[in-house]
Amino acid sequence: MNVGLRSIGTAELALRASNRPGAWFVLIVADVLAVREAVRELVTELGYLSEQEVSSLETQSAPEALAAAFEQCPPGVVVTHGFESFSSQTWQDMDLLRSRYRRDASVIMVMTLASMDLLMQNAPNLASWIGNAWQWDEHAHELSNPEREQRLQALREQFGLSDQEVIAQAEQGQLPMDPEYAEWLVLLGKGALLDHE
Amino acid sequence: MLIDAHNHGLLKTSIARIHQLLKLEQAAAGYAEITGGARNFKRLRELPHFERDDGAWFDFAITVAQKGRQPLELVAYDFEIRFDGKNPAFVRFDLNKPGHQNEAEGVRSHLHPGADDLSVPSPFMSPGEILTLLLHERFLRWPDKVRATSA
Amino acid sequence: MASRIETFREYMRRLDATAGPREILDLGLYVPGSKRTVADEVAGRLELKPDSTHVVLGGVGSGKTTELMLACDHLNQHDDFGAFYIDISKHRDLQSLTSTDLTNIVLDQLEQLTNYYRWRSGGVNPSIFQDCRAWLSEDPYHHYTNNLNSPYEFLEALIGELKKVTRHIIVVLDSLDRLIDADQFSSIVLDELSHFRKHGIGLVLTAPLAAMYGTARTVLDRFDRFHYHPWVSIELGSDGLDFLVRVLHARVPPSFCPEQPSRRLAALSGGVLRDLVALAQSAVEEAYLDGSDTLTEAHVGIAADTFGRKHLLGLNPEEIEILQRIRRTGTFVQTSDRDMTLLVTRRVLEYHNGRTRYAVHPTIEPLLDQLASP
Repeated sequence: MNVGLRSIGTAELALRASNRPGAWFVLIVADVLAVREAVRELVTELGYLSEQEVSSLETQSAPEALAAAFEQCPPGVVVTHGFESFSSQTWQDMDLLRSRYRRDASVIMVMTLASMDLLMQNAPNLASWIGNAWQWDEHAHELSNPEREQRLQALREQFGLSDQEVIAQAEQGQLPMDPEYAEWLVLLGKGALLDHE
Repeated sequence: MLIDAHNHGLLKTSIARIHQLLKLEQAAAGYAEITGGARNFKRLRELPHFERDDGAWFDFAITVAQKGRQPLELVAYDFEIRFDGKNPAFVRFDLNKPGHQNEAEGVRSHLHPGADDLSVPSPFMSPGEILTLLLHERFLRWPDKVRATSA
Repeated sequence: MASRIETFREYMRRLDATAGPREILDLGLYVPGSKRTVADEVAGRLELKPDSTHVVLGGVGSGKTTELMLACDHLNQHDDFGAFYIDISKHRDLQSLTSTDLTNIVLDQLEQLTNYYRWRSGGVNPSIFQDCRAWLSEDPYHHYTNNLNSPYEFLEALIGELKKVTRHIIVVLDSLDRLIDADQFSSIVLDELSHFRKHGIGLVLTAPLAAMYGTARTVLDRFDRFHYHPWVSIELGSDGLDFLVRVLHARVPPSFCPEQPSRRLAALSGGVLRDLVALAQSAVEEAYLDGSDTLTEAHVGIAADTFGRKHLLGLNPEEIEILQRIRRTGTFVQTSDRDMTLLVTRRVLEYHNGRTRYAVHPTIEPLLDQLASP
């Protein structure tokens, strides 16, 4: 049972992780498919921010092997995943090995809510290390509908054209060169018309 | 770059706000729009924008394209920085969409020194180079003591 | 002058909730309480009776390990004491730990930690340590010079050598509190207890919290002393909040973390030292992202909300109801493993300040209230 977690985007989580030594974070994702996507995005984003190498570790349902992998990882943030195969016993085993997971840089665990529930029920020592858990907002970096509409409305008012007129001009290769028109087409989902220029 | 500028005291906009202002819109055919702040033709300060330590404020929009495995291509951009109570009141750096006439006349890359109808050809700069300029400690900054001729 | 990010990164480093206690002690971040601490009690009693046995219990994140290390440091200030701190979990998987493993780990660590070449002037026979090392690593090529054939014979021999240069040997064993239940703890420890006693070794170890309750409590009677390291009481009138604020200000300056947000952090921690540090680090992060140069109650509020939402995960409706009852009445009776889990996982906090009192962790209190509202 939960009252809902705060949501966070990849860029913000990467920034937090790169600035917090020793912290453990949990990122909750919707399903197993989302785990891989989130891990990929996090590793990419951390690569831009972090001075040290970023490691990605999959658990393979083996806490002992994971502990060994942690010990061999270069200094730097670790993004770890693969917890969906963990049973209650596996979490208890991981809890007993907690000392071996200690690192100077932060650790991000990516998992589903069901996995997090099991962690909280079976690994109290590890859970005490987790400072924050968030729900992944994979769209956090995207323009919201109101933001998109604000931009389109500003463009319409400034140039005195409707969206259809802009599309028609683009189709005829007659759209002005100004950068705002490029944005206009992209916001309308008509980026392909830029190829007509 | 924006976060670094904040950490070095050059950008007042908080890191949390930087994350809120920087957005991405992905469209079909590999085109995408990166926006920083609201679209603000009327130059209204109450619309979302970035703010420098000296009170100057700016926003920007960048159009890019990625076709297959090709490197990211810069299609167009506009960066506008505003100086309240100063003349010129703004400087805008534009990169027009690519096109034969544009490039033949050498005006694809240009800047507007305080007037939308007045443009000056400018060297082609990457978005990173323009941001470096906008966040620079010396350039594009009004000195504390303005010369009489600048008033 | 340090840039903003360098300043904040330094605060973050000093507020690392996963930092080892040795690091905390070496950085000078430890703040002693106003009353006699567990370290004082354990060290004091071992000074009087060096072959006594002690068991220490306390919640996850209460600072037990720091107290054990401090006790070791205190004892090692005496010329006639040799106190060894051993984290069992770093040497063996606790899940499959046996009583013989325990003795082997003690042997291994005594051999490694003793600089017997330096002590050679005291007449210590290094061949015993060499044989011990070879035996532990199952070296087939080693030429054994001493006729020792079991961990207990090695233990007796090693202790005999060590006592030539230091009268009193104290072994401090940590991490056994992570064992799931008191029965497992008993089966591993109690047999070995007699061997350690036989050789006059002082022993301190941690035990699972479950050992304090019900029939499991009988295991504690096998030790000379039982020490409970409680959560810091944050009741009005106690000096717990002041102590927690001092802990905070040892890590971040009051100029950055003023009195009001500091006291708010202390209250929200529930007296759990690790949670105080974790909440503070999270609040500092909020201040950094917000562009603020001081910590405010708003930053503390966001940190507490994020922490509390995480802290409520993994609970079923029955457990939520137990928490609601504690919130309403302050009463809690442990009758099941589920109740014990709520204590171990710090959803329920037990305080001993003249009387036993229970409360839900402060960060989940407003969220429980939200769940209870129609």
